[in-house]
Amino acid sequence: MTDAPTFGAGRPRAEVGGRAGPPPTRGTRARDLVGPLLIVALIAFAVWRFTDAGSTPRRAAAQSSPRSLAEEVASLVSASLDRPDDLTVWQRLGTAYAQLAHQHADPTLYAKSAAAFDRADAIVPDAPATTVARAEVQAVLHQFAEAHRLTSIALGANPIDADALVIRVDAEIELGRYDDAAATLQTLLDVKPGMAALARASYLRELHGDFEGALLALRQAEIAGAQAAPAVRAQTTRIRGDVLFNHGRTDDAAAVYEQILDIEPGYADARIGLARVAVARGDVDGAIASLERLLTEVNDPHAWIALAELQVFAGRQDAHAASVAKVRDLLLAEAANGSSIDLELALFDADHDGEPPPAVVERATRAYGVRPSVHGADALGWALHRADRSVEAVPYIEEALRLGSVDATMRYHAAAVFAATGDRARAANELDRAFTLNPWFNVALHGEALALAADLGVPVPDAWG
Amino acid sequence: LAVGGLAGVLTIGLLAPIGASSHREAPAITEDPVADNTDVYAFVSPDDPDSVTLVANWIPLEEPAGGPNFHRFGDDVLYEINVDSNADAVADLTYEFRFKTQIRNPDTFLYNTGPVTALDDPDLNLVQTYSITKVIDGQRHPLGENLVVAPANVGPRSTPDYDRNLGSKAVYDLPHGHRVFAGPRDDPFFVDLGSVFDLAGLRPLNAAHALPLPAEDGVDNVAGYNTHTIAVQVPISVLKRGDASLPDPIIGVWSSTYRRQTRVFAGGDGSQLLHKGPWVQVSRLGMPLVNEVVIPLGQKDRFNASRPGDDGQFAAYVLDPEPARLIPVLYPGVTVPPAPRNDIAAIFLTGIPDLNQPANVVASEMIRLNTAIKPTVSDPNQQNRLGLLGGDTDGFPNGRRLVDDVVDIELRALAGATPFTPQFDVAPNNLLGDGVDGNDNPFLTHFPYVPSPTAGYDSE
Repeated sequence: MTDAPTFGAGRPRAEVGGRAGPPPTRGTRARDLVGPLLIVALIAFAVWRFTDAGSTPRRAAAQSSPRSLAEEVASLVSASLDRPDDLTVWQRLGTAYAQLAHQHADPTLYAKSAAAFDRADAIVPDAPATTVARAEVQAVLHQFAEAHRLTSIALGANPIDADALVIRVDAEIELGRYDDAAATLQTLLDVKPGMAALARASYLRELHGDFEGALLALRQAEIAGAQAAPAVRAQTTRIRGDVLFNHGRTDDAAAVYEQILDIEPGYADARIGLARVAVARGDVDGAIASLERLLTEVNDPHAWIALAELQVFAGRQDAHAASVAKVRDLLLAEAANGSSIDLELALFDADHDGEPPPAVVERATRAYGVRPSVHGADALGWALHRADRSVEAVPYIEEALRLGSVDATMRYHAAAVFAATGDRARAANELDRAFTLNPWFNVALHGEALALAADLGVPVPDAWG
Repeated sequence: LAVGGLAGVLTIGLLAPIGASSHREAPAITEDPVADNTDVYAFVSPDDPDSVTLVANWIPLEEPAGGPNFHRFGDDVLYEINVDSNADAVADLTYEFRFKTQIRNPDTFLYNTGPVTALDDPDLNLVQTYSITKVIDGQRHPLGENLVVAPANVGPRSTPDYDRNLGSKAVYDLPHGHRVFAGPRDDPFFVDLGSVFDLAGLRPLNAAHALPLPAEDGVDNVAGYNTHTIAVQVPISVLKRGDASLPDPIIGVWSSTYRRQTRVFAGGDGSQLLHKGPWVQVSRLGMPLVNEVVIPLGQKDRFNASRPGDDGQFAAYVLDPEPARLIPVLYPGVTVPPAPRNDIAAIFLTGIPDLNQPANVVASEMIRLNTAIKPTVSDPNQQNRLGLLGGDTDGFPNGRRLVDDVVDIELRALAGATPFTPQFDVAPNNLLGDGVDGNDNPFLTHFPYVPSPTAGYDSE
């Protein structure tokens, strides 16, 4: 056998000219012709080469400057006018509006995002891509129950849709459904054991008290994502810095934060981490100055929170009041945009007197209702304690520690609650645990931790001098 | 090339996280370009017809100006090129590639600290090496170790005379007549993405589209982008393992890509090796555009995890391919053959009778190459881009050569413009095409044939 008798026989080797198309036919609106199934096929056809890392649309969307995002939205709006039946345009517009809403703190844009997804659903009802995009927006808004519901729909169509699985793992963790999260994550790890899956394995391990296992998975995540965009690599590596810092490995954390600034100069979270390291090394003024400098460049709530904690530590009351107002303004603006921020704000207010304690309890109760995670339980327990309702706080604090937390701040919360309810042995044990895990946990609590240590007879960390 | 789920259409994982979080905000991006196999080629070597060249590319659409973190293979990824010698849909011969990155000078973030004029030049700071292992029936035979991956083509100051000094030096002669190359190359694929992305438009046929526009020349949107190539040249005698009982000279070829499996919980054991656990297949590629176009989006993850022996589960998508149904909708002047499309199944799953279909073939998706059909010309740039449809029996879908315009060939095949269905082998079906007829750079006339990478300095 050397030849195919039928194929190519008699066909000229020279190719027919590329422009010699068939005669033009009467123009018909594609909308009248293209059924939903075919649109789905069309998408498959259209995206074949547009894979993630290199695709032009992704690249455009990945740029972080406000102008480029606004341009992306403008170009998608224009595309949606030209091609009102193009499913992918509406899907991308839904996501892009959500990005812009976040960037500009403009809640009306979330409505436009939802409207764009509605248009996508009108073209192809419940297309998996639309559903997953909606789920992602909900997760970013911390609406985890809704995000979870949407991933159920997407996974009904494709049980191993990696994007849906990632969002579902996050949602299950935040909803306190840790066994479900582990099962979902194992599915993801079995299909796509890449950066996103490994970073989440790290978090679940850490939540369950496995610090070394968490670090290992993070290293694997960083290697798997070694060629992701610098901002993405910086994000993964920053988590390792935080994990190291939260486990008292200040110098290792510092080295990691420095390394991030090589990858992504100016990266805010790494600079916040370095400020915390500076405090641990005794340079409080330098830490405050560096955060103040950072905040002239970005209006970042994380940086404001870190600054507020330091201002309590350094006794700078006036400046502290201004920082608290800033944090509250930023978080409440996010809430107005549709974000769920009760958990974060309750924890902050409990330590910074942002609101009277009963109002904080109310907010924390709401937060726990929608996010019954260990963090939700911790926030509610801590808010109750601050409102002099420590007895009621005990079951929530115990719930917060149920996975075997290695979070020093949560261990400190437990110590304070147990001390207030007369369980001094348990309190001393928890306080010692907190000091051992990370002497530099939330420094806003440093003063009261010192007093509690003296009261309980627990030695303070050497690092505190 | 794998398009998992939403990849490419949406920006999943790129939404900025909310301002203040008490929880972990880890990257949600699931795409994995390092393990994303873009194209596989298999052809009888045009300048050495006693051997076959197998080419597989990973990492799509690399920007040449990617410094200082230039693209490279994954140290934590297993790359494989598989050969089925006896048509039973199981690999009989596999080439495994593992990579290792070394930083010579950890005190600098620079890729190179001076002009790099040799693979062992000390000014090359980041060096990637690899091993190649031949696996026959589970038996592992190391063919080469510490081979150097060709470095990035940075520009005329950093990597002067790139191909002479570096690219050609990264070709290694190995035992049993093998040659191998690994490194960045010009992506030899060519397609008008911009138009295809716009409601499957084909610029030359714009006037015939349901939403007509004036006809234009196609635009190659892959031009100027690089990719990472693994190429291995194998004597045909090795491919058939000297086994005279094997029925015919037809082989099946596909690539597979693996990452380590990880358990959610490590049992508190942080002392374990950084990389252990069994390999999980995350990408699979054989015939062009089957993974990308014929397999529906919702099935891609499943396909990427699958093996050819289990391809029965995907047969329906081949027998009634959605893109074929799309053609008459978007091009109202065109009618296509009705399902079941046994012609398409022959092209993608079994090979064509009396050409590249082996005896007793188990239907499965892979490139099928009749190694007994020798190249008609020794210069790959002189081959006919339409392959078999253009009269080259040594061309796609008998194997796949770099020159083969698989977009146009497959469009026409989907429209029935082949001798299988003569009544559809008429205009306009047999004129379908995206108007991009060739690669932006000429192919090399010698192994590895894939053109040198565009330099970062020259990148637009």
